[in-house]
Amino acid sequence: MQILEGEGVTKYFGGLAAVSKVDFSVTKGEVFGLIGPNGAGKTTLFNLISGAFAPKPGVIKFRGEKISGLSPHKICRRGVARTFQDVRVFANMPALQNVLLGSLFGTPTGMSEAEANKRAIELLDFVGLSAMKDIPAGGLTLVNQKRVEVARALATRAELLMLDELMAGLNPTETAEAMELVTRIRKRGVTIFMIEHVMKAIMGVCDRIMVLHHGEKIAEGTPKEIATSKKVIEVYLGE
Amino acid sequence: MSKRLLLIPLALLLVFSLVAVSCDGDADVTTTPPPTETTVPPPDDYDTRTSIVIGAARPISGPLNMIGDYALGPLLDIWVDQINAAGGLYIDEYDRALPVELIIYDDTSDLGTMTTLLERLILEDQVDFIMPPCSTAFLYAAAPIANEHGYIFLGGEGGCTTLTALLPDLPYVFGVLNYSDYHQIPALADLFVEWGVETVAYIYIADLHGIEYAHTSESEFLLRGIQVVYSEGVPPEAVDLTPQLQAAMNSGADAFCAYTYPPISIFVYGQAMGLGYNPDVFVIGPGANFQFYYAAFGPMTEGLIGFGAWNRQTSPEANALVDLMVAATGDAGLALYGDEEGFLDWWGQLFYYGALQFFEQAIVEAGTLDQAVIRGVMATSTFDTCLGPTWFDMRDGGGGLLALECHPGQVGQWQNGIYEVIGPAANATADAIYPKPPFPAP
Amino acid sequence: MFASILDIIIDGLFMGGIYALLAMGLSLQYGVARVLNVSHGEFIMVGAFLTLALHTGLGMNPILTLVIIGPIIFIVGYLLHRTLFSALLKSSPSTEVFEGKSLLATFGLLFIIQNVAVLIWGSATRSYSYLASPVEIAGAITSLNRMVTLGITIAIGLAFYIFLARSRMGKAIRAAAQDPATAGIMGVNINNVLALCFGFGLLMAGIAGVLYSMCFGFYTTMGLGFTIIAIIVVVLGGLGSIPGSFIGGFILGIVGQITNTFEAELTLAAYYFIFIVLLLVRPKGIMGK
Repeated sequence: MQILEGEGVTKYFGGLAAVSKVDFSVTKGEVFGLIGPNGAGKTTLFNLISGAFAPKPGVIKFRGEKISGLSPHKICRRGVARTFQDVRVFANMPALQNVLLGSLFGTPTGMSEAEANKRAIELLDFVGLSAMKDIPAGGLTLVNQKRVEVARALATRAELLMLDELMAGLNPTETAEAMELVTRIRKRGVTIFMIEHVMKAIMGVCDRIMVLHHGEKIAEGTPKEIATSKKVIEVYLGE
Repeated sequence: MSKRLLLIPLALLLVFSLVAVSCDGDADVTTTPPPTETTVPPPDDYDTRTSIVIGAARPISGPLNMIGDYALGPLLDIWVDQINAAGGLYIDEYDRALPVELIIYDDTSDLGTMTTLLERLILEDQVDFIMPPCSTAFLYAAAPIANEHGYIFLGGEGGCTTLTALLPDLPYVFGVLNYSDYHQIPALADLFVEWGVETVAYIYIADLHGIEYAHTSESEFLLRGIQVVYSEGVPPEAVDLTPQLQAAMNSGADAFCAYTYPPISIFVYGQAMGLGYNPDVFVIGPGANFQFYYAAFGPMTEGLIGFGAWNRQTSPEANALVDLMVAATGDAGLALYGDEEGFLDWWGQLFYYGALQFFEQAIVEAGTLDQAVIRGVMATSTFDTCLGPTWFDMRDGGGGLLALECHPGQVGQWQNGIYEVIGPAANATADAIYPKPPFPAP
Repeated sequence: MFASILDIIIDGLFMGGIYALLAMGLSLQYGVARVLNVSHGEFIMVGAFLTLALHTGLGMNPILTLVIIGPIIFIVGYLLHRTLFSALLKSSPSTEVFEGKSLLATFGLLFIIQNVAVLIWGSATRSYSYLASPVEIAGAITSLNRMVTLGITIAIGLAFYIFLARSRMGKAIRAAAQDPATAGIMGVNINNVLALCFGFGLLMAGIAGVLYSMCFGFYTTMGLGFTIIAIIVVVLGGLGSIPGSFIGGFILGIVGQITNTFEAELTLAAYYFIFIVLLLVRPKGIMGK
């Protein structure tokens, strides 16, 4: 079943089209990649999906229901969660609190405090941060902050997790660990839609990849197809 | 005798005739017509004038409204209404009575705005007379302006030694209200001596008014051997007076004075009550003399002393003024304070109304709207007003002050809801209560 | 001789409690909802006059009036945000633009509220007497109404702190204070939370007004002075820190009382002096981030 669909998604900022007539479709359970040079419109597309702004024109549907135009918190409660390129944890709060926020507010149906707490602890464990649960998030290393963000997003009982450059700023060991985390998330049944620059990573985990350039989709296919696509190579080499 | 001899007398006769004829003429024979009266021509607008216009810049809004609307403000309306009910003021040079029209501009309690509006009234609107703005500082600024343009300036809410010092150069200015050394502090200090007060603590508002009262206090108390054991200035925007009250308490002074005005005058008493500070003598400056003070504090005011002063008992005319005020402001008083006398001011209102009545009679007596002439009448006449026989003591060719003999009282004290006059003795309407009784239980 | 040290501290704490409430309110409005509400002080005035009306008109106990006045002011604040400020939020491309627009809007509020108040209640200073009896604490004399006020401000401060720290809504507020957009993405209903914060903010001012009226006289144009003090305290305590505002209020109260005791005419100047020094030396305040 197509868990996320976009038809003709467009967004203008002033006279400039950041995203232009993009059609896409993500199958439930897959890991779907989004690549493209800087300024291609990838983060804007994520913002459109998560509800920061609405596409104009264009429609975005989640599980067959239109979500474009809804407020962010409503979209989140339907089961869409995301992380950010510039890791946005609540720095002054302990890691556990950060994740707790997700389970308290982001779930489709409410949760009691006790349940929410339990879930938060379980997720911190899942991302390997049990030992750090009481440390203020701002004091964690970059890679751990990213883990907190992921745990927080998962805490909202997301069915679709959008990862915005999860691997950015990580060394090779950390990158490998992150890739492994993505696989484990997928095993839990969460669909993943990820923006990435680190080619090795994205080629390694994704089932399918979409390529954006100047706001337009220029290619879509399996990693192998993308890797050998002339158009894509031109766009990247031409940079 | 020959013919020649006869010629001589003929010649002489001829000469005499010639001389007689030529000397004739200087005998002043013209008849002077009988003396006629010198006719002054009627004023230019004799036919067209329909009213007498009086203008004023008053604090309709802003903090000074709290004083203005409870002092001269309502009296202006009452005075003009009384005049118009009687048909207007009869002005000889117009051979008819002219109604009075009052124009009041809102100076928003801002000094600069007031002076601009005053000049507009004089130069653009060209009103016939002006009335004063509110508060000492404003009077100080307005008096020279009025004087410069030859407009008679009656004092209103305010008065101070520094303004009085300027009077010799301000012939059109007539100070009305009493103040620190004319003659309130001396009267107060005399009472202190009578009661055996030996030490005083006081606070004063740090501006023209307060500083002057402070200085006058120092000299008047010193003269009578009363010692000042604590004195402190407070800023006009002060809200919390408890440090000063605590210090006064610690000083153990027999008497406490607060030379302040609203709202500080109100804060001081409330906070003194909160601290349980009740010296034998408690004096509060402008503020305590308003009926709304009693409306706020009720029986807690028992024994509180203030400046002033007059009440219904001062004279039948004073009683009549209270009735006039109740008729005009009673409803508003009831609505705001639950007291139909809520707009009464037991310090200045009798002074101001007396001055207005004096002014009215001076205009009629002068028979003209020419202010130079009216001024002359004011400087030299005595008229009967609600203050009794009323006149101004003039400074050599300059302006004047309402004569001390015309003041209805200097010191007042709240007794059972009435602001009794307790000093000087000649004006007293009741015996003073000394020492101040304890605050009644709430 | 002057008032004793204990007098100064006790009265300073009392005054500080009122400042603390006021500043916490402004901190909620600015720190979370990003509205620098220059009409904040008008609500302390409104609280005071409503208390007067209920106390003298209906004979109600001033402390009891909190039960009526509190909810009224809270609802006014909530609705104001849901209507006026939400609309401004939607039409503002960035936070800076919103802050500018909302500042102007609150100026408008200031004039409207102040002028309506003057029309209804006039410009005279009003007061009523409540619990104005002396109470002795270890040799220092102060009045009962002040001590009751101090007790209530501390109680409210603690209650609110616990609310923020422990309750679900408190967590949402803290998240929204740090990063409203992210909080929204995580399921926090931001519009609701911001409006609640704005309502709470005004509520604090209203409560401060009720308490203030028990101890001091009040007049319809007193609001702006309080807004300025609230701003100074918020900066002193640290922008974005609600506990900081609470503590900062008490500090400023004591400083003010010291100045009032020894050199009363410098009190206002002292506040501004502190403000300027803060901005130069430690702009993020005591507990700011």
